[in-house]
Amino acid sequence: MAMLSKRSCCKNRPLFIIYICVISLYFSLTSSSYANQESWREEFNELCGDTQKAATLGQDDLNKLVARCSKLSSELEGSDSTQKKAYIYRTEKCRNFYIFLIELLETERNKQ
Amino acid sequence: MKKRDIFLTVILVVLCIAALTFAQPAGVRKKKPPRHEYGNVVMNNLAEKNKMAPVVYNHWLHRALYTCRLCHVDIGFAMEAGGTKATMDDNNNGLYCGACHNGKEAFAIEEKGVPGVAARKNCERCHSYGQKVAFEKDFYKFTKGFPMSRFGDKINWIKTEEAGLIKLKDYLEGISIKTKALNYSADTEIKSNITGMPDIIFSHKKHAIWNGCELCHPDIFGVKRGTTKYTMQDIFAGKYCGACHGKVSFSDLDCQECHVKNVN
Ligand code: HEC
Ligand code: HEC
Ligand code: HEC
Ligand code: HEC
Ligand code: HEC
Ligand code: HEC
Repeated sequence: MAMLSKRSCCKNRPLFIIYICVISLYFSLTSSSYANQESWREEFNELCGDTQKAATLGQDDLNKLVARCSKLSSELEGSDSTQKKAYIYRTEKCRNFYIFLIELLETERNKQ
Repeated sequence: MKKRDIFLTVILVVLCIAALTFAQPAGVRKKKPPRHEYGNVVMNNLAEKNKMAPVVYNHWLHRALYTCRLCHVDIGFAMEAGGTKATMDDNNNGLYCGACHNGKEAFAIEEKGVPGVAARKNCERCHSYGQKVAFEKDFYKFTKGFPMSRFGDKINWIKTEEAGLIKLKDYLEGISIKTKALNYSADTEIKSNITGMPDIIFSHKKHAIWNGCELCHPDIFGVKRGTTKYTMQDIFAGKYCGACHGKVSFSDLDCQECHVKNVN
């Protein structure tokens, strides 16, 4: 009995390995796309979660935020997320708000 | 003349004068909707084209439950009738109306586990334009006992909230951003009286709590200030303060709510 089962296992080894490969490929693919979704959400939360504090930031920080928003927007544009429509809209809204603050700082400086 | 007739004439004259004074600032008198329709929005980018009655969305009920910010910033509804371009697929994917109308936060779009037509009984509660629908919530019953104001839906929403008659939710799991649930802190406070409008009552801080910054800046209030001065005509036309006041928030006819000095 023991011999038999060992032999069948050896005989099926290539199949078994392929099976393992397929399984791990599947998991790595799904988990990476899952991770992708999580990463845009995290970036979104960081960028747009605290807009009310932004009035205290300097121009350099604001410029960086604007650049990250633009990057996120185009990333979302290229993704196939069912959520992208709403999240592009929201990202653009907070990006425009940062630009508003930058322009305010610039007008203030021009006055002086 | 009988005493009663004199009385009636006096009342009539007073009413006419009142109507005239209210009509004057706007130039053309606006057609006033009944109280329960103030702030209603009809959405019909796709509905009728797809043989469904247009959607009627009401603000009076939703604003009694949630902050403006939750819907117009977190969920991403446009501040313009028809501006969102929401579709039924979006709703079913948990966006827009579907962020709440999922059977947990509010009634589901389609009842699950119910056979046939019964599952679709909620369609008409949203697709209600021109239909006879038995709503669950009635404006007059719901707002009974709320402090009153003079125009629009005639509810003084600020006093209603202050009296604890409504409690506004500002956070929605999975939609709102966790790190910031209602932590407006004093250190970020900006000048509460706007320079250049000395006789206008406007609390920046309160408006920010209700609406969130990015709702007003830059779409409604850009950087132009100082070069262009806005007038009451602009406001009556739905710009600046009039983007909300006169549409959903208290009416732009309520002069002394905004003006310290008597402008009538
Ligand atoms: C919570 C509110 C709500 C409920 C409930 C609802 N809808 Fe809608 N529906 C909308 C909104 C909002 C739109 C977009 C309206 C527009 O601009 O035309 C829409 C659009 C539609 C459209 C237009 C095409 C499309 O894909 O967007 C169809 C068809 C439709 N709904 C069918 C239904 C059916 C069938 C039901 C019931 C199973 C239903 N709706 C329930 C809110 C709702
Ligand atoms: C439950 C969600 C929700 C809440 C809360 C909410 N709104 Fe809205 N609002 C909407 C929707 C939906 C629309 C229609 C958007 C569309 O047609 O694309 C809208 C449209 C508007 C419009 C445009 C109306 C027009 O006729 O053009 C204004 C102004 C507005 N809202 C102001 C407010 C204000 C002020 C508050 C808070 C007192 C508020 N909203 C609270 C969902 C909401
Ligand atoms: C932030 C959450 C939220 C959003 C977004 C939202 N609703 Fe609602 N809605 C509610 C709640 C809560 C109720 C009241 C409880 C209930 O009836 O389940 C309600 C009630 C209603 C009612 C009253 C039905 C009745 O029979 O009295 C209508 C109509 C309605 N919603 C339409 C809409 C439409 C159309 C949209 C999208 C344009 C929308 N709602 C978006 C939370 C929401
Ligand atoms: C209801 C609309 C509204 C909201 C919400 C709002 N603001 Fe304002 N904000 C205004 C108005 C009105 C002005 C004055 C603009 C003008 O004079 O034309 C202003 C001016 C400003 C200014 C320029 C101030 C100055 O002294 O020149 C800044 C900065 C600002 N807002 C930041 C913010 C931030 C940050 C938030 C969120 C915490 C916010 N605003 C929310 C309406 C709003
Ligand atoms: C984004 C929408 C929005 C804009 C724009 C806006 N408001 Fe308001 N405002 C509200 C809401 C919501 C309330 C709460 C009461 C209500 O809805 O009737 C409110 C309340 C007020 C109050 C009463 C505050 C209190 O504590 O009693 C005043 C005064 C006021 N607004 C003045 C203004 C002025 C002046 C402007 C223009 C500079 C303006 N608002 C622009 C949304 C807005
Ligand atoms: C939502 C707030 C709000 C309400 C309600 C309101 N106003 Fe105003 N009003 C303003 C603001 C803001 C300005 C611009 C002030 C500035 O730029 O200094 C203004 C300016 C004015 C001005 C001077 C500029 C112009 O347009 O001639 C007059 C006069 C005036 N309002 C009359 C009225 C009358 C009459 C009413 C009632 C029918 C009224 N207002 C209701 C906010 C309001």
